[in-house]
Amino acid sequence: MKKLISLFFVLSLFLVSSVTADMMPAGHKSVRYTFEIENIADYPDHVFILYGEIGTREILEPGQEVHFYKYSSPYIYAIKKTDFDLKNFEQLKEGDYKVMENYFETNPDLIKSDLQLTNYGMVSEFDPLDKAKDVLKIKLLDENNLLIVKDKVIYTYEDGTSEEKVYGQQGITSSLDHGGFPVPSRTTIFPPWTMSALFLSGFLLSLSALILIIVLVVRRIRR
Amino acid sequence: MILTYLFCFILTFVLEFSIIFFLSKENWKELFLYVLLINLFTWPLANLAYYFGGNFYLIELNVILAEGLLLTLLLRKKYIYCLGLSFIANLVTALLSFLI
Repeated sequence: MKKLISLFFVLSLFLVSSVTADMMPAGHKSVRYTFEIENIADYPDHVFILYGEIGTREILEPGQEVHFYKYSSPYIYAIKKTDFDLKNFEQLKEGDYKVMENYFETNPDLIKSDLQLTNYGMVSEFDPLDKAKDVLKIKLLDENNLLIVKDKVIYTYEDGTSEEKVYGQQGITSSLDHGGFPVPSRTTIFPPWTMSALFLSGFLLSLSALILIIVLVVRRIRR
Repeated sequence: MILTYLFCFILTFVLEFSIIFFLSKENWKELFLYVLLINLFTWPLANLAYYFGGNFYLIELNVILAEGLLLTLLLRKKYIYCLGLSFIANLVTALLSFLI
């Protein structure tokens, strides 16, 4: 019987894992994050690669909107087309991550950008924000330097409307949120009943459970 | 919204119960009730604390300590053992959120 119950819970664990896209604190949602390099087509002699931990490794194409794993914080690399072996890279992608890591750490032909990208993260489920798309610009690319800056971010809301927020001169604005993003104009709107109802029901639930636990403990002691 | 909360709670409960059951091999019916009650006590409070801007790690630490204490009282085992169970169960649920 115990084995059957164990099996059931292991199976349910995997089923639940495959059904849900994420585990996050209740009342929160992930904002979809993408980015695009606006002027990548101006550098036809180079290949641009997005590389970071947790499987982020992608060749960037002109006009491509790129998404990466939420907990990855990748960098963009550039390499001259003449120095780049696509076949070898594709093989590396399929192989061990340490080999790929070594490729990015030791290849002298790769030029690493200073800009580390991060996802937007979580917001309250009442927040109307649905998506954040960064528009990046290559400011400088020479033999040793790759300077990429964040030009603007396009926020899309759940009702389909969108707005552009321009980053400051250095790629950073004065009012920031979520690790370097300009603050969206529209923020969380709580229905008036929400907070008090949440607070009260949560508190009552906890209190009831605690009372039941105390009753059980007292009964066990008396036995 | 209620469904989201319910789903999150069930997910947390199923995971914690599975882990504690695997590790402790206690009577599953009793353990089911205990873990359910313990989660019903800690989960809403933890979410409220998080909602009002509490530090995630501090909240998790409090949850681990509280669940360890309650397991000690209910299972009548040593606190350090129950603290270990609580620590592993909460650690796994937290780590899984990074993996999925």
